[in-house]
Amino acid sequence: MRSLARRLLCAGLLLAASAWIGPVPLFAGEARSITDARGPHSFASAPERVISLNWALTEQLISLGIAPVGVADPEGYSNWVAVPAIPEASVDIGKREAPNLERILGLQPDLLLLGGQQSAYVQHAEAVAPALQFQLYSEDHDNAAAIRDNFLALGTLFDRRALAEQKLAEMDRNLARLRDEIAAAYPDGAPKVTLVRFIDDKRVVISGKNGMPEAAMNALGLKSGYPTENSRWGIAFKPVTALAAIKEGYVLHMEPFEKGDQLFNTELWHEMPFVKSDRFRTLPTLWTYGGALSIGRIGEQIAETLMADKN
Amino acid sequence: MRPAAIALALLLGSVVLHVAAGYPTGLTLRELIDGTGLQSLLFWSSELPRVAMALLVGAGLGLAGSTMQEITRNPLASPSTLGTIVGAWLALMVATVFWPEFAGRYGVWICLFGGLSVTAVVLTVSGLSRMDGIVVIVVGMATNLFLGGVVLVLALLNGETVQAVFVWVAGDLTQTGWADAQWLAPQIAVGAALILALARPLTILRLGQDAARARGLAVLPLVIVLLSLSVWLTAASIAVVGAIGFIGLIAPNAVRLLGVRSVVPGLLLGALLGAASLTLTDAIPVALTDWSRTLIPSGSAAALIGAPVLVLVAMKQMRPDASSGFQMVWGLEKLPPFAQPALSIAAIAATALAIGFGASPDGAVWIGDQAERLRPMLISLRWPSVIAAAGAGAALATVGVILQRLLRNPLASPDVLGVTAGATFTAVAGVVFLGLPAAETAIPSAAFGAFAVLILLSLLWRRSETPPAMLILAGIALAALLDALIQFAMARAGSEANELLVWRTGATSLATPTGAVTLFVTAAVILALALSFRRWLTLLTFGEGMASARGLGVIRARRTLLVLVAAGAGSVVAWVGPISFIGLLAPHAATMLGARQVGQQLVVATALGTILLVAAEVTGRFVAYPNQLPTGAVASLIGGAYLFGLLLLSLFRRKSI
Repeated sequence: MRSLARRLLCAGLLLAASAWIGPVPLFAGEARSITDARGPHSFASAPERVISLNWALTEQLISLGIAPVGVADPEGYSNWVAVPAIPEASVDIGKREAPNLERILGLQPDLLLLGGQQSAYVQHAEAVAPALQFQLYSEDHDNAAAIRDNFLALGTLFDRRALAEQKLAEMDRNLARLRDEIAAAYPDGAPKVTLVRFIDDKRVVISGKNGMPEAAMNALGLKSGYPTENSRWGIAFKPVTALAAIKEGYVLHMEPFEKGDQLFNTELWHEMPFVKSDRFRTLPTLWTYGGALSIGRIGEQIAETLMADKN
Repeated sequence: MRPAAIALALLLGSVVLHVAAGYPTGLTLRELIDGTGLQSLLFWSSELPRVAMALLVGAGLGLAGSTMQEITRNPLASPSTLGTIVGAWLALMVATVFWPEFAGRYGVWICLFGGLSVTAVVLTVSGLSRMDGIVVIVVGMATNLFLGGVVLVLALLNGETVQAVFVWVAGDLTQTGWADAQWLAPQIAVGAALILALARPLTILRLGQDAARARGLAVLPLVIVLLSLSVWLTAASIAVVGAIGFIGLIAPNAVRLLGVRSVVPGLLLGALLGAASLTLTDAIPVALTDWSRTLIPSGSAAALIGAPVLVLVAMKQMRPDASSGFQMVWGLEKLPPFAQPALSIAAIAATALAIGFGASPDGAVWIGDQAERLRPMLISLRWPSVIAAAGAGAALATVGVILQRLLRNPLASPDVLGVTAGATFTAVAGVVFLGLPAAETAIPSAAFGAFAVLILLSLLWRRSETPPAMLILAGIALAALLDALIQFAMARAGSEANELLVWRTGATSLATPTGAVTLFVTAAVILALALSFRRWLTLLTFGEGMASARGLGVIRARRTLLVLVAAGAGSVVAWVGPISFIGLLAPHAATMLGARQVGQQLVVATALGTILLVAAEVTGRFVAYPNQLPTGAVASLIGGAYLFGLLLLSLFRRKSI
């Protein structure tokens, strides 16, 4: 409440001032506002010592050129998210599920970033430093839009709005270029595409509605070959036999998958439409629950696969 | 041969049902006979092998369970209660974390190794000569809890790697060809043939081990060989399809229900009924495959059907005096005079030290050595976690004493009876299935679950002749059912499960100041009330007859005490998550110290419970810095080690426990 009052007061003063001396340039120390899962917050200046407790938010920060003072589970991040890499100087502050608050306190942060799954720690985090919690992934909104908005909002908070806009625009331009290339390569319409991640040789996670791969495919003008319902993480968890429902187009699976031999040698697998038509491909490690720029990375991989077959 | 006819009819019916559920849509008879095309292949190399696997695994587990029960003369013996399954699970988990490539290639052998070694340990620790009693089951359950704690810690420290293992833990029969069935069929066939060939002498064993020896039977070698074969059957089955726990417990009990008494036909029927029950339950996930957004593991379905069946069967089977008179107590005869004040002071001191010392990159740091401006902050971060641990330890110890006195059974504790599992399940289900926000809804839903389980148990109890052992059995069945459901929820891909992983392991670090104070006060109030009901508890310990004769309203006393138990166990789960072992261990350790009177036992157990859980909280902060291990997981490691030590001691002292 107090911050809201302060903001109104600031805005009022600004208006009054501008009435006197015309338009004011934005100057450092200008109150900036950011809205998280709990409502609007205002910061007098851009936070400098940030700690991120969530991988997607870590990714967003590093993409904006901000080196977090501390991050949760950097080792897991390197294995699964990989790109962009975490700076050497960032300190490990424990697991995402149980962040070490004393370690965080010792790093003297001026901002903590929490993900949607860390509601239980919001109160604890607030006791240590100002905290923002973002519900990036949810069944009730468009994940890709929410994550892009978050990227811009973080840009505003850290005085890097222009950079954030530029990066998104670059990504969109790149995706648009790839879309045109695909359209040119496939004049009769591009094939459908389905991204999957194998849990083991009999169970699979299929990307679908509200996932980052879907956002990438929309930008590339591609359709999914597997209809899924809307969900929080944009996935369906199924036995591999469910892949038989994919009647046409490409199926791309993401590394790592250790039990390939046990699945790819079965008769049933060879009978799958996408295997018969030789449209099954392997993608490198991609994190499909990540930040805004991951849409571009996923899109590039998909486009590369489709174009490789044309050359 | 009526029982055989019933079993065969069940078997046929379940196969027909399964095929009907799994028949690919739009597959014409012509395509089916041609055997070409994808739909036809889905039938021939996915649905049919799945039926075959259900039959094989079911038969293997049914036979293993029947053999184990025949040898041990113990209606609760089964692969899941003797630690076989958890052993396989742990071995696979460790291999997956440390040598992923090796685990991917040799998963089957890893499971065999883990299952065999853990079962061997359980049986050796409890003593091969005492398998008919409840000791083996105690050890097996302790092992389950203990190793379950290890597994959860591993899962927590390696979040994304072990998702596959969680699927495996829930047990799933999905097939993509005949490879698994071809591997498993000879294993089961050879194992079963050997068991059936060796089973005849078991008839003599029924007279008791001494009588069998007198007739010239080499009891020990026979028992060892047959048990090894049963474990082999189990491990081979679960290695390929994951942990399907209930079949081995249901089948032998169902055989008894059919009234079959002779050994070899009984074992055969056990295999048949195991095959029928797994095929029947597996038809459910198959039928729901297209409808459900997420895969339903076969093991969850088996538990869903199996648990109620088990309770019903048990109600028919259990003899009223099955476990009364079972005492797990030795140690001091009388409590030393200084023990109560000394332990109370120790509990307070432990709590204070836990708040004073913290972990840092340079090791342990005393609060006085920290920068002055950090001190108040550090204290305010630390005390809720420590006070919550103290409150949880105290509440669980008190509740454990009440339950053990009430049921006259040293095994009774909120975790064993399924109260903890009930609370956990409702909280997890709320988050995973209803999408409720974890932080806001965990508390009411956990409390609801704890009360629901206790109400269920007291309904079973209304027939005053229900023996305490029956309740324990119902509790075990219920806990296993709820555990299977929890595993199912956790197996859902995506990270909802990760969010709950910490809470599921009993994380006091989640406690807010409000929560910590609430829990601590709740624990104090429950202890005070329990102390004021001293006379009731004393009378109930002597049995109902005695208590009624002394003018106690048994029903009312029970109800009141159960409400206390639900309030205590429910609050702990709600505020810090499920914590095993403390409720079992603290009352027991108190008795060992000589606290034989109710009042003494309550005070000493509460002090011990507090010390234990505070110690677990501190250990969790230091061991894997900067990562923090959940208090509950550490507590189950400490508790498991204690129980094992105790059992080993008793083995060497040759005292009955």
